[in-house]
Amino acid sequence: MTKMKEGKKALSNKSQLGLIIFRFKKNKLAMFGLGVILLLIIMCIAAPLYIDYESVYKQSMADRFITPCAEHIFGTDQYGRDLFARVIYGGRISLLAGLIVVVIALVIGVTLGGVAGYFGGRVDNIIMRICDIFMAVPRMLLSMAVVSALGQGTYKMLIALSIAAFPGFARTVRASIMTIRNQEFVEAAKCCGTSSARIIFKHVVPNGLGPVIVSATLGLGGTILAISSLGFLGIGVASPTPEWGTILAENRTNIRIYPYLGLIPGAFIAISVMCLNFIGDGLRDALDPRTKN
Amino acid sequence: MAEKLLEIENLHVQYNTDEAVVHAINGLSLTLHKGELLGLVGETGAGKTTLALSILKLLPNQVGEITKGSINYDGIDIVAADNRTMRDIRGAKIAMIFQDPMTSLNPIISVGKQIHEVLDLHFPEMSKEEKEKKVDEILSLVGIQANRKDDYPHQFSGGMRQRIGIAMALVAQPELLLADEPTTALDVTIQAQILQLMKQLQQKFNTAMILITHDLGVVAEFCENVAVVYSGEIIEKGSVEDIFARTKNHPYTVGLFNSIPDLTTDADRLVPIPGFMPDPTNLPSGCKFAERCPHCMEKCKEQVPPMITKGTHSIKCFLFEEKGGNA
Repeated sequence: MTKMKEGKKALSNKSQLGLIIFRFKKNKLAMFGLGVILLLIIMCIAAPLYIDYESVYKQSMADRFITPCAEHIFGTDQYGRDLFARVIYGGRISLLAGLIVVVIALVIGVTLGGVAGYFGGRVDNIIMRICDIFMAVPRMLLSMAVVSALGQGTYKMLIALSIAAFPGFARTVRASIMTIRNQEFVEAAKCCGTSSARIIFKHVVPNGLGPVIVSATLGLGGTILAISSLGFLGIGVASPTPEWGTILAENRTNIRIYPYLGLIPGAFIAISVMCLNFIGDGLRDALDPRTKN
Repeated sequence: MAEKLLEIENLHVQYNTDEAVVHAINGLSLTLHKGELLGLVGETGAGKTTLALSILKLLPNQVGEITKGSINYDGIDIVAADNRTMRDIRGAKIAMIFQDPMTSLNPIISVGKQIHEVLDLHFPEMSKEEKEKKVDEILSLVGIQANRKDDYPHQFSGGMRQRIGIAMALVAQPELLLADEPTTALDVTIQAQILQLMKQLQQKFNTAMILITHDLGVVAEFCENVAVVYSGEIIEKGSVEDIFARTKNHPYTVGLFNSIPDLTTDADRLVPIPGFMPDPTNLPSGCKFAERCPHCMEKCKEQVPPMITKGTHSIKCFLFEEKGGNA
């Protein structure tokens, strides 16, 4: 018996998590996305080590509109501020804010969706109708409305975006819990004498987690985009605090003559969102055991 | 005769839906002894699966309801038992094998762990090594190499998954096994293997088994006793010899026999039973088969016929009352 075990492929001896990682690693696009995002995150976290925080705000009329060169690798803007410093410090806000929004929305969404999906009936009806009310208003419009009600500010924007994002998660969770709840293996687990709590946490939730993780990753990209959009519209993070959308908005008038001012922050937004989408797609494939081998 | 294991007495089960009350089981009585292999035959919708779910007390919440009768399992009143008691019975004393092996295993847990879980639930005092050993043992008993226990359900074929389902059901060595059409979803060659395996293990562990099926051939080959279910009640029961002798049968059973191909008679077409099973939301007051019965009499439509027993063979039909009286 032990000999047979030793003779087995190394793959089969891995844990569930190990298998997911193994499958994820095989997806080149997803690994590329993960690499770029990690690089971005490290660059942002380590920013104080290589950029003086002062250069984010330091204005110098003599250094206006310097095109990218050795000293200012991303050039400077209309006030002579170093664009590289602004973009990197802006990334700290954009990425962190995106993460916070997704985490808040996920906690609310998974709790509400899980309760609604498992208990069904009246509880489900009440929770989902509340979510429907939030979903009836377009996400961008809803967050704009909340921001204008609460007033401008980074924290208020986070709250607004979380409120706009949680119904989507609640729906995803509810839908996956509901389909799994009625599957035969849940019945089979009941027939083995498994308790309700154990069925929920060992059989139902882990089976429904895949779509939630995927939609959270994809949602992170969308949220970063939404933060930038709000910043661009001037109701998100307020200038002069650097944030990718805000930087874009500041440089909007000069883009025609100095295109790098728009292209660089724009590229950071696009690349990070795209890479998060790659990761999300890769996760979706990796989490599905049927794609194994 | 062996000890009684399961005794169902005048069981009535109904489903309360929004539109109507569906009478799924209507006065069903059944006795099962230790180690007995009973075949439960009937067409779709006769209440076979409902019966299995009632025994496990797993009727859908709020919808399914036992309205009358009793289920007594080895001294335990199932109808009155609380959740805790039932959880201890399920899997350990009464286990179930499902119809579709494609969906009855959790896709994201390795098969070894799923079998292991049953032991975790019912033998918490057993050591991990011991449990692992038991898992290996039961897997090789059902014909799956033990070194495949870390594989996931999708890596097995349908027949192998059903073997795993059987392993899961038997690992805690239950006294009663409910097999709900365990071979319907499998192809014919695998069917025979699986049934053979089930019978082997049933005899090895001396487990009582109720084999729910609509295949008379399966019953003839594998069961000791047969009960024919129609519209939620047993209309005929007896040993395999009693029923397959085909000398005295309930008209419905005769109909069932006529609707399967026979090698000894020369027939161009099979003879189906005309009509359909009565609507379970609106049952006739007399014999439930009266409308489709070729021997239907006036009183069949008004009175429920009594169960007439002769030796081991019982038939619920007026036809045999008279004959029994004359003989």
